[in-house]
Amino acid sequence: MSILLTLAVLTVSAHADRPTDGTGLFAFDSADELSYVDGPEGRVRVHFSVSGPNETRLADSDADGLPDFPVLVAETAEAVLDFYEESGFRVPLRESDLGLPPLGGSDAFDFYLVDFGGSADGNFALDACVGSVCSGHMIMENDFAGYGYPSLSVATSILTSHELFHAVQAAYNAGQPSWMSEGTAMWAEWMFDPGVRDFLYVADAYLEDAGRSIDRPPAGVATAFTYGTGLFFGFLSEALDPGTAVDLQEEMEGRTEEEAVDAIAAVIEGWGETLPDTWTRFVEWNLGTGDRGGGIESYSFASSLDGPVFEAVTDGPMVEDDNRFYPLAATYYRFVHEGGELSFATPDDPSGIRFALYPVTDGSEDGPLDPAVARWAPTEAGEVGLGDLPPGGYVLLGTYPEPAAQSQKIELCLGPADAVQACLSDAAPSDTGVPGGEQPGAGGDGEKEGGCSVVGTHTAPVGGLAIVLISVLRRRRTAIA
Amino acid sequence: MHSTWILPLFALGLSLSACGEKSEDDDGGAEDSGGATVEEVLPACEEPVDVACVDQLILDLSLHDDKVSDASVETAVDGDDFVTVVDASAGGYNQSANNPWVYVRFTPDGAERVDLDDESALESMDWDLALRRFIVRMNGGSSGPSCVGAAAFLESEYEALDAVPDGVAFAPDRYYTDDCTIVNDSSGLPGSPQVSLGSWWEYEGCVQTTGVPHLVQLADGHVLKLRVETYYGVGQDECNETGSGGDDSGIITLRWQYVL
Repeated sequence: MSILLTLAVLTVSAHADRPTDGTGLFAFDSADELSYVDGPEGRVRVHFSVSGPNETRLADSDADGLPDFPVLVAETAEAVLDFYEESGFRVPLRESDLGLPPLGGSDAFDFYLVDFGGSADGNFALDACVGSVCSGHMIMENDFAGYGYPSLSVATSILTSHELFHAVQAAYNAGQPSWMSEGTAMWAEWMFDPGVRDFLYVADAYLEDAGRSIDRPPAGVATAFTYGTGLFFGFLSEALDPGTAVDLQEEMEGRTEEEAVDAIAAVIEGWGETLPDTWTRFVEWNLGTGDRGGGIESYSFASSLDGPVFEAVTDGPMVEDDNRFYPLAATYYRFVHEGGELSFATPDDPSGIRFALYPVTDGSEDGPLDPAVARWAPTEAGEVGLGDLPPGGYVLLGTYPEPAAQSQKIELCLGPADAVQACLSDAAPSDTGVPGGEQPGAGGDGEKEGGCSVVGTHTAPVGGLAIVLISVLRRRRTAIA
Repeated sequence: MHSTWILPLFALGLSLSACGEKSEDDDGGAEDSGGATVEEVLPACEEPVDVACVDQLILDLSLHDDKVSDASVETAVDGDDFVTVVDASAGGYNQSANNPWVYVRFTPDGAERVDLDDESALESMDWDLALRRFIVRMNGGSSGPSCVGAAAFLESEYEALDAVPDGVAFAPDRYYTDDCTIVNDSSGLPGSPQVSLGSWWEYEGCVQTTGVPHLVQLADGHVLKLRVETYYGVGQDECNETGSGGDDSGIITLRWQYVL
């Protein structure tokens, strides 16, 4: 911090307007009569209007002479700051840290309760920066009238914890990409108060579009996917260590937006894991949620999630698809196996894509899943025998678990061995969508070290067999047969 | 503010001399149902070409391979014009990324919906326009495998634009750089690529129509004039005048007529 202070004196830029200046998209009006209340610890000051267009809720149920709502905001915000500090995060920078005068009349973190008119409910605004390290203030809806929150306290908890985490981020690096900035803030919300369901809602939105790269949210100002990426940061906290949340902020220091995935990889490696393995575990955890949870290791809140949306669901024994596997994404298929030999095949180069197969418990068509009975990572076109499997519902998971410039587009067939051979014969290698149309490695050039397990009449590109048939498979098959 | 432009279109566009010119054995053409004369012309292109940056396109524009729009596309005749209303609302602004684009084809009998999923559309010449919310893509360049292109006429009125001026060039959508970085327009709205038909709107608190007419050359070489009249089902005039958003956003009204 001392270095920061020195830099601040030298390079800090002029501060942004505050709502009390009457400018900006969300600001007080000249007709507003303003007041403020300080939190009990003096860490937060809440500015509000007692009369005028932005008048806040003025009820004073405890007759302490202060309106309850601004007091609630101040107390909650201080509890949030205490929580973040105890969790190991830096506290948001104060104006004085950047050499600014006390813009809100004190060195406390300033909240401004302004009428957003239903268009939004709050945001963290920057005051000034030294490089990518910034101080700021919080603008928050003045009364939440007409908003859909279940209670004022829930709204306050969500807004203060979420937006104050942006202030925490700004103490490390205010230039984080939206999916990381919002995703980590959503997880921070959950960490502060697991009782609110905001995080679960957006996590489900992420699972609805799990085939999209986590670092490529859809276009839009505030897409739920962007916020739902918080599920991944929650996974890191629960699967690796809660300290990953702090590690990630520290790792982002001095990095650009484009280096965000590199920062994640560095954090994971710091905990002795690799990004591909950790990502593969993440997308498996996602499968073990909702009605399919219970048999697969997953989140503490797994039963509260809806689970991922399947790319395809079939009551039949075959999965046939032409799919783009995007980097750091996952695709799920559900099908019903009639029992017997099961095979997977693709006419395309599937290098980099990992697959796993999960049976539905007790041979049911759908429901809770058991751990994977097979995992494979083929490196060439061809067929992979998955063994003699009992009848019942199964889920196929495919994921491309590392950063890459392009997706891998492949046709895939999964089903009874004879049907898969027919499927493979019908399938033509996919156009990769890569400009120029090159099919990297398709058809095998004899130089690859990997390969598939090939059965039937296909020439076997035998190499490093990248399939793991889990011992449980054999035991289960024997027991059912 | 969303800017309008015309020079880049000419700089990027196809040469009129290379496509869409009248054939030498033109026998005078025929009259379409809208009353305009449609002359026989040479196709601008006949075979699809690979679309570059497909990977990025799918993610940036949230294209779907498993959904086909069933949105309404209705055309009426209004004098010499067709008036086509396209429901490009796509489930509303917050849901639009989860819904497919609406594909539209121009015909001498009016515009009609083409039932394609978004990824199939990247290999199809059957459509001319793709619409979702305020973005109107054409089948060519960055958007599709065909060669539909447009020229904006910033200083002209739709009514006065009744022929293809000499030397005009039709620019396909070009909103990816060579390294597949998307080029957004100047509206400041996220995920708004700089499409060739972008000058029909501006954003000043709401989607305001500019009234700028375009000439659009189809793959078969025919050219139509096109003006987007409304984006809001209700309240377009108020939006244009005050910047206050209307209701029923994404209900796009197109006025168009063949000029070649």
